[in-house]
Amino acid sequence: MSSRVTLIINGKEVTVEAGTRVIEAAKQAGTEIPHFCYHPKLKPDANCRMCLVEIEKVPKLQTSCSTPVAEGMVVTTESEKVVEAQKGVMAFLLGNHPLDCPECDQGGECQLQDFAHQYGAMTSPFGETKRTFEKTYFGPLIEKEMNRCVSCLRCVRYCDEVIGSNSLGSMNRGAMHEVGAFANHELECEFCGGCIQICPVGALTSRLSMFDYRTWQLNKTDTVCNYCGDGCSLTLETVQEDVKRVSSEAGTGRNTGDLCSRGFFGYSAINHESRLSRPLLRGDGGDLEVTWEWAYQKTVDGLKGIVEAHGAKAVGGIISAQCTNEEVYLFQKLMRETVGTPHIDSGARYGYINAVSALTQVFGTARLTHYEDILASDCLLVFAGEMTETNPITALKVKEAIRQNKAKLITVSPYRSKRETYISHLPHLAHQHLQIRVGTENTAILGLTKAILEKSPASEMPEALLSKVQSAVSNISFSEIETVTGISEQQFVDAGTLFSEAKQGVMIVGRSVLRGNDGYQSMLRIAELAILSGQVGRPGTGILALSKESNAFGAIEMGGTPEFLPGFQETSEAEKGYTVIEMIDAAARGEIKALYLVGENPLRSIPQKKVAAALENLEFLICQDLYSTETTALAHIVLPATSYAEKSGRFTNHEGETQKLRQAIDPLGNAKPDWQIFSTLINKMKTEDKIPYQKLLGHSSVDVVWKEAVMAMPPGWPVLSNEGISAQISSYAADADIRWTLPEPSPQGEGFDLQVGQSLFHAGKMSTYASGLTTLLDSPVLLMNPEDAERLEIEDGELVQLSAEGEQVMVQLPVKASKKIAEGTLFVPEHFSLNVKTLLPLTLDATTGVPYGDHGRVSLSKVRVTA
Amino acid sequence: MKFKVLSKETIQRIEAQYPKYPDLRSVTLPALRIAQEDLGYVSEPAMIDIAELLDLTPIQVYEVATFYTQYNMKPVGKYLVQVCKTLSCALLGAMSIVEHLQKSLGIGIGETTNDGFFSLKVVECLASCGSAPMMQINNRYYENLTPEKVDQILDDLRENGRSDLATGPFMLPLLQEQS
Amino acid sequence: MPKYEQILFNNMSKAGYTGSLKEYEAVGGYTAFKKVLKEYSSSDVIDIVKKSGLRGRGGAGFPAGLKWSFIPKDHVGPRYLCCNADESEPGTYKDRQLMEFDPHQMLEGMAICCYAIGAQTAYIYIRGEFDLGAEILENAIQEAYKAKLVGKDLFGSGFNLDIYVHRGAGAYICGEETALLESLEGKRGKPRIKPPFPAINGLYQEPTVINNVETLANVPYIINKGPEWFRTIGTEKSPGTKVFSVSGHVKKPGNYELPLGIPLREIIYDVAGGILGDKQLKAVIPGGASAPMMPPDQLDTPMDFDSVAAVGSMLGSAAITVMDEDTCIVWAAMNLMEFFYHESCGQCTPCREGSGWILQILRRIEGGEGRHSDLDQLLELCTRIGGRTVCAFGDAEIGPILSTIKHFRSEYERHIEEKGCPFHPNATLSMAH
Ligand SMILES: Cc1cc2nc3c(=O)[nH]c(=O)nc-3n(C[C@H](O)[C@H](O)[C@H](O)COP(=O)(O)O)c2cc1C
Ligand code: SF4
Ligand code: FES
Repeated sequence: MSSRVTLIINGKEVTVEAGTRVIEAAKQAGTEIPHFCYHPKLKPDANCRMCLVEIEKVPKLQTSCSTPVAEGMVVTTESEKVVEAQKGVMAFLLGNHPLDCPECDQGGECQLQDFAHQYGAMTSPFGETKRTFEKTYFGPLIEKEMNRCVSCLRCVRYCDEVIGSNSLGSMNRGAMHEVGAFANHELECEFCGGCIQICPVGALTSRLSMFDYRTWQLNKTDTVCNYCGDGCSLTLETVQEDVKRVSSEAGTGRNTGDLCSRGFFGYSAINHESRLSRPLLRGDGGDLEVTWEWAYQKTVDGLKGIVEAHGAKAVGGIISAQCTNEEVYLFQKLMRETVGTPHIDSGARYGYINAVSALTQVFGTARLTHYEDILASDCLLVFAGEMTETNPITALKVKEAIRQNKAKLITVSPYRSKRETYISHLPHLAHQHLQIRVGTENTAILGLTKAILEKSPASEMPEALLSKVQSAVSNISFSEIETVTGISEQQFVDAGTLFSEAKQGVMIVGRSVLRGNDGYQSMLRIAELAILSGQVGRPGTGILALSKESNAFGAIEMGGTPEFLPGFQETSEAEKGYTVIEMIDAAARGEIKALYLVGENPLRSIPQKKVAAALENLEFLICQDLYSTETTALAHIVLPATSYAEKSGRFTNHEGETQKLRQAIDPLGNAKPDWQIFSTLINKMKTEDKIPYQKLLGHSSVDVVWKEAVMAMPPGWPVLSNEGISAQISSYAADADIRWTLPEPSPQGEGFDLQVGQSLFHAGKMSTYASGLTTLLDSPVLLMNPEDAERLEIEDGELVQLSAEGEQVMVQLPVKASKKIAEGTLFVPEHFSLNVKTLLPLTLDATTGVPYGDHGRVSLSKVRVTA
Repeated sequence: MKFKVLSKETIQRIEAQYPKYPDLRSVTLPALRIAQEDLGYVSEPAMIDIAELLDLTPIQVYEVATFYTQYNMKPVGKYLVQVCKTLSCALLGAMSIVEHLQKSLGIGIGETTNDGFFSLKVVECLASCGSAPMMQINNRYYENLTPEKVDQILDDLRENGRSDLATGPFMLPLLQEQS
Repeated sequence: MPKYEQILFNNMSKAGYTGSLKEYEAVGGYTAFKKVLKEYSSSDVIDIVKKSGLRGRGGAGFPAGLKWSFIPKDHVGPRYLCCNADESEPGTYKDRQLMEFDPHQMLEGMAICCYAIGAQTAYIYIRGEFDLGAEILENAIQEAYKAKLVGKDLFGSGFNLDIYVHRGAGAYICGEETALLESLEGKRGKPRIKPPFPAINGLYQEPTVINNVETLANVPYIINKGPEWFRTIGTEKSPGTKVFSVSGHVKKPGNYELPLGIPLREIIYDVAGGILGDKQLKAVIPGGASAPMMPPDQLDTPMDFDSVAAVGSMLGSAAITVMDEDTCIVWAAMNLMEFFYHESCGQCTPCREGSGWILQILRRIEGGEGRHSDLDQLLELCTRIGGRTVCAFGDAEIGPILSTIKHFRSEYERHIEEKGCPFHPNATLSMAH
């Protein structure tokens, strides 16, 4: 129920939403009121006093940023009194300002410069001594110049109100007020870059590109971040072929202008020195740089040769889930139609396929929940304690729902609810946190299902489903569930009731479920839980499965997995190709002779000795990548691809939102966008004559590819009607075979549960090429519970050795005590040393073949340092 | 949980404040005061401990510590002498009291004597304007000061650790005469 | 000298009275609270206080009963009372006396107020330096708990009350009511934007009343003796007594409880014994450092809220600071500006930046380096601060400057022309913190 209010601003009538602030109403009426501390993302603080306006019948000037509109209000923003006040504030702000604009990176986009130009003289008005702050080192990524600060506190408020990192603060008071980090030390935080973006002046700037450009030289291209499935809009700001910085305008995109460290500081991966810039042919004398013509011909000859000799099924292809929709579409077309093999898979195999297959199985669609639903909901059930690290912007939506909507948060995760550092931590914000044992998400879902079913099931539910679930859960007791998960009946009942009784409840599922054991089954059970609690199919409800890669959803939708043709059309059992692991196994057996890897590096992704042997067994290995990797070293031919900055296309994020990437810079060296390579190969494969590739009629642009892909989609795509969903649920309920089995409780006592996961500062492999991010984290550390560390007398930084039963491998890692880690557990960010993964058992999902190897039991011992 | 510097007793004293407030963050000011009473000043590890106790980030504690003047961010002498310099005291000779203290102690404003006994500070109004000039040493007020009285107080403190010249419950100047 | 009717100082004026609960009860203490619990509804109490015309003693003189009536009646959830015992306005030292000598008087006032506004929790925000005061209050509260005057289900009425002492830590601004709330919440003392006013959205976002110690201490007597009695003291618009804290160049400085409306001259010359050394008077601050200075020709002003305002100053906290003829006005203004510069919380641009520029100019003038343009610059700076800040601190800090330039302009000009201070040519002028 929104009501409208009409007021008069500078003689002009405006009607706005009730509750709007005068400054915003003025903007809607086309009048900009000068301001510093106001920012649409933040609560009004009214400290800068720049936005004063005259309001009829109010004796004093009022701050328009904090004053809500009222019916019949008469506002003047340009009267003599107002102008005088603005001049006064400008004089105060400029009085102590160093006026060092020529050497300030903010020059040209500085609010102080702009407003000084309009509302005051650009000179220092007082003849007294200026206040100066001593320069302090603020850390390697952010420069702090307090002499330029206008004390608007936008940075501090953003850090508190939006990010929830609480790492920036005010210090001292009065004229000596400064912003900074604890005890004026180096800044430790999430490094989202938000403070830099929101600072209206040059007080906080990025060190990554200091003095590298003047703001007016920057070319700006709006595109989409490629680091995770959140789908953030960002702007690449470039000078010629160099990305100088990244920004995201407040309010724009799915991220409404907020970014994480990877988005903001991760761009230098684009121009990293280990980028591949020419096609390479592996010969006896080492790698040979070749022309594209030669590379294409060799690729086509190689593929054709294999097909002729061994049949099309001897060829397999794996594409990265960071490739665009157009690229995946063309790649699967190349594989399925041109080469004729069903063996096509993508990076979505590493977990996301569990979500999409299960959700489409139950609901007929995986497009269930958008950020708007999170914001509208009043209860969030989150199976992703690691969400800040894996999907930071979606985590912001959760925080916003808690803040704005007073939504209740329930988290299910092996983490403790204690917050560790300045990195915000969802379990810390939770109203109820179920701290489960490592790897027991699946059983926790059972506990919740049982609790909801027995205490507060939804009123409308398909009978068939109800009775099946009932009989599946009835013979398992809460105490058995507690033995596995460590969670009591009461906790399940409290959480279950909170969720099922919420008006609008959303479930969010992350990596710990999708890449834990039994991810596919877990997703089915979560879908049933949503139905049982009535939290699906309405606005503000549903299930959001978090994707790690920027286009995992799109990769599946475009036909990049063996189970689905474009548009989620299921392939028949007969024509279903191999998954990643099956292809590796087939290669090892000699059944697959040629593999085409696009942005995929199985040697790193699958930590098993058999992978190297399989790849070495191939007759023909094509690697198309940005960087040279362990795998490209084995390739017969290496095709240099372009990064997201050098190409256009589309990503579909984990909400199912398809967004456009726009090319910001020319491809590096001779690299080509993947889609162009595929388009050429498709055409070249079909022509018998040796026509130069430039003369072949390929797709002229990504938009042409997109059109073709859309044409290949089934009718009704991409949305499924509510009736369609209901019908699908009924048919699922009728066919479903619901069975719960309890896993063996993991042994307690000696030893640790080791979990491998993501760090906030990295995403996949690409981010490790970004100097901004490696500055924050460049080597693995072993996070450990502080009490455990104390008990074992292990200091931060000390080396420890891990080993696992049946494994000879020993891994040495430095320890860091972390409060969010539960007793008896250990955590390692996966981006660097993968040998730690070799300690962990690798299993495959029975249905989807997703490889699981994120956790396992290890033993730990101190490394004795001998002098 | 192991704390960096706060003793068990200090932590208990801080925890005893919890029931007073519906929100733990409110304990920030009392916690800083209690920590200072124990350590003589609020050190960085003390602030980190307080943050841990109150479920805050260290900067949230630091922000508060640097806003209020009573928290010593650095170690001070055993006796912190704070002379009020605001108008009423200044009118009646606060400046000469400060000068006298500087001479007697042989230190400047903001300094600590070599023996670590006294630190000298000049502060704003301490709400004792009717008994000017005045000073506060640790938690006691000393009022209607004269240079002789100041010397006596310093001697007392040096020798006995206390001085009878400290103000007891508020002196009631002239009340009887008033009625 | 006439005998003035006292309310708050009555008990403590008696020889040997130490303010213990026993003694307080012996002189009728807590009868008002018991009466209220038994006989009155909360709105009755608010009505009585409204009728009495009691105005806030903390500085602004806002009618107390009216303030209490702003607490939303239908609010679900906690409400709070905060007793403002920050006493940080320079010149003021009255609350300290009230708290240290008769703590139960204000506790009873608080209890009655809590009943009236439906608050079950009250905090006393006492300035950090008042160690003794805090100790005395803590003891008094313990006494009250033991006697079941505070606690659960008081006298079977179902009314619960907890009173806690919260100590500040050295920040003048925390006397400002919303800065006080921030400080109580464990944050920096940054005044909040108003509206919303604390009565709607105060401590922990709940409806909150903030009253000064002296305001609350009057309440039990108003209940016991009735609003009509209260109105017999003081003036029509400023009923009751006021504790005047007299300091500076007077023979008998001290806290004096006197009827509101008493002429300033009577306070200085009769009650406080006149100017020290029988010198001539140069200037008076009538209501704490924030109140504009008054020249001697305003000595006959009646000391009530409206009369003092009418001559361009304010009654404020009724802290009277007297300056004799040898006082340098520029130096006095500078001294106060040092105070304000040091105490500004720093959030508003005009206050944060302006106080520093003003201080630099004053220091220059006092140091003999004044320029003729300085006075205009000072006036301009003041207009750019006044009325343009979040809280009233901005108005407070310009009071001494505007009033001294207005009444003592020639003294500034003498400094500028003579390139030095005619009063203290060589003295230590100011001290850095
Ligand atoms: C800068 C500033 C400082 C203040 N300091 C005090 C103070 O120390 N004690 C006090 O009681 N009121 C002080 N006040 C007034 C309070 O804001 C508030 O008006 C008062 O506590 C209300 O109580 P009352 O209505 O009983 O007077 C101050 C106001 C301002 C603007
Ligand atoms: S006027 Fe001064 S003291 Fe008041 S809020 Fe603004 S900066 Fe703070
Ligand atoms: S924008 Fe309104 S006060 Fe700063």
